[in-house]
Amino acid sequence: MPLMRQSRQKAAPPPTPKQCYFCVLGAKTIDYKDTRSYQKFVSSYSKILPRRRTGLCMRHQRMTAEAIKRARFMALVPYTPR
Amino acid sequence: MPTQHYELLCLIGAEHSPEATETILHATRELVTKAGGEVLNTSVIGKRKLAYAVAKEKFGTYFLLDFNLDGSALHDLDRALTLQNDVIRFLTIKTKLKTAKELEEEVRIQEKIQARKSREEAAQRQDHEAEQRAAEAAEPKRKAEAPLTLEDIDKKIDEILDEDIAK
Repeated sequence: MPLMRQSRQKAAPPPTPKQCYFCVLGAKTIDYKDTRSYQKFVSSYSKILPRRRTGLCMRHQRMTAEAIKRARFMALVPYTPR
Repeated sequence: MPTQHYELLCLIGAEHSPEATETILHATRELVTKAGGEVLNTSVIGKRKLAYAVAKEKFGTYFLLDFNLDGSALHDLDRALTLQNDVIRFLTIKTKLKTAKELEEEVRIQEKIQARKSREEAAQRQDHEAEQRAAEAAEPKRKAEAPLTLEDIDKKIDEILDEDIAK
């Protein structure tokens, strides 16, 4: 039944921006001490969002992930939500 | 190993007074110089609430050191820092010093971004004004409703509850 199939379909993921956020800003480095700059690439469960959600280019996705991991170690951002 | 530029962020407990923080910062600086480093810049970032408790401390003070150091001496510095009890946690990362050319480039990019932003804003404002004019032409202005304050809401709730009880 076509109707059933439609109901089972997953909700479409939120649309990703066409251009990488950091490329638009012309960022060459991402400072892990500036937690606000990458806050939007962390989920509410404090997890680093995947590239399909962030819409970042590969280079900046890696840089962001690295910055978040460094900040986690220095207790600037949490590993897990409280 | 060639000399590299490094950045060291240290975390100490928040119970240290600003003077004590300075002393610890000085001691750390000494450690770097002893390892053969050349300290370029130091700064105390300040007291912050930690994202999780580190060594049972919920608040901490951060300070930052920029220095040049021979890569082979980094291991010794790390070890010396680990042995220093005041520093709860530290992280050394390799950074690139920006050359004058790169700084210029950065300024240029920022200017470009600013120009693009202002252009977009101008376009938006024009659109907005046009829309407003159209809306004003279509219907006369509605009276602006007074914003609801918490007290108003409380009053209304009280009234509704009273009515219910009266029935």
